[in-house]
Amino acid sequence: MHFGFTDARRSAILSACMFRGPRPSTHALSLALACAIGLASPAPAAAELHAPLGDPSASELAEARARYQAGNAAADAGEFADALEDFVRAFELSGNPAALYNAARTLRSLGRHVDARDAFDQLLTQFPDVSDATRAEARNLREEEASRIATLRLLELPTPSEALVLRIDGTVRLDGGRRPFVLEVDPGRHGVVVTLEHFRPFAWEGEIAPGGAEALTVRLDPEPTASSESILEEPALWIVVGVVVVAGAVIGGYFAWDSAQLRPESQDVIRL
Amino acid sequence: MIRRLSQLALALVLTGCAENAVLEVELTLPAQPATGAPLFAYVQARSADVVSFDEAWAGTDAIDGRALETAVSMLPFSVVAGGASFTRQLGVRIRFCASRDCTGLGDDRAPEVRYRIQRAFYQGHRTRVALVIDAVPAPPPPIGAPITDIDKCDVEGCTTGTTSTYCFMNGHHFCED
Repeated sequence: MHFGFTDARRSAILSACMFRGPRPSTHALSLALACAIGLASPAPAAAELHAPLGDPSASELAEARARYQAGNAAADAGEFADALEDFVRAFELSGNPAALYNAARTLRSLGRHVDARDAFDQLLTQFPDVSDATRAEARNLREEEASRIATLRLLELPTPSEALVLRIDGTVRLDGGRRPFVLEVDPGRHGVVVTLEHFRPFAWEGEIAPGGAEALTVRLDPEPTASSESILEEPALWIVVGVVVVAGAVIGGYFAWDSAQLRPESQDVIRL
Repeated sequence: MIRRLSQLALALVLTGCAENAVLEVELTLPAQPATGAPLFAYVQARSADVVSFDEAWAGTDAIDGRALETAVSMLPFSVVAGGASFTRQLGVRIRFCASRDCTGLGDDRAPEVRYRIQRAFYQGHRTRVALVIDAVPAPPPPIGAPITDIDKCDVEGCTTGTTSTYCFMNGHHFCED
């Protein structure tokens, strides 16, 4: 099975991301995340890469072939993001497992281990007819990728509600309600922010090693009451307080200073 | 305004410290001359590096004219000074005028007595001096009329009892820091 890439066509990223259809629970994250690598942030929704429902037309096969070859060229050039677009599109058009395999390996090269494992899983479960050699290689790579995946556990997370918002690396994550909340992530630096109405946000940022596990206890402290906050944060209040304090100090200081001055003994006074 | 605020700020820092100085003057006025119109003693004081009496002291603070009495009388008054005047000379001018405010006809040539005190003020201290005028001088005052100079060591202050001088042997006044 060959491995290569072509020129970047950013508009194809979006189309390649538009997967539809049933989503097996074992594939929590899918190629949809990876194919959005050219976007500002990966798509949070989980989906798997889909082959066409019916037989592809001749023109679709021709395009798939061209995209597959382009993907190989891009991969050879080290342009893995572009290669991923082409392999994803080639698979969508043709349903050829070679395109899925190359997409999985491209995800691996990109360091997207969660997505790569899921892509290998998809290949192994949906394409039993691939050669034994390819299956064995895919299985080895799948295990290798799985061993690199890290886990993020959020402990004491409140029960799901519309007011509870969970963001991982800036992206809102769906909260299925399972506690503790466990998320598979690629090794590296991650950020977690949990917000809940009337509570101060919980935030964490840190590095997770390959295969590592990070457990975070989410502590949400209630915000101060609106009334006290509004008063204390009112600039006019502090301006008034400042003016009163300064005026008091000046007046007090003046009287203290004045009382210390020498008083003339006579009623008739000349002041120089 | 800025000066006022600066003074207030300084006052806050120096709260408890007197910034002024007061000279208490005990002035002995002569009796009203037997002849002539009633006279008023009009007292002015000003400080300067070198006090000059050659010009009129227009705008200088003064004490309301005091009518001379048939006998010798006392006119105590106080002179209050700030920082700028501490090291300067103090001039005291007593004019004998026909009007209380010394603006009457002929008062521009009224006879006068002049005193020049070498140094009268020391910050935070009260000093005293006694000036005695035996008689009203003859009018009009000649240009360059005599000035009675008073040495700083003759200005009483910062001691009790009686002493012939108010300076240390090194010439420093008792009130000098």
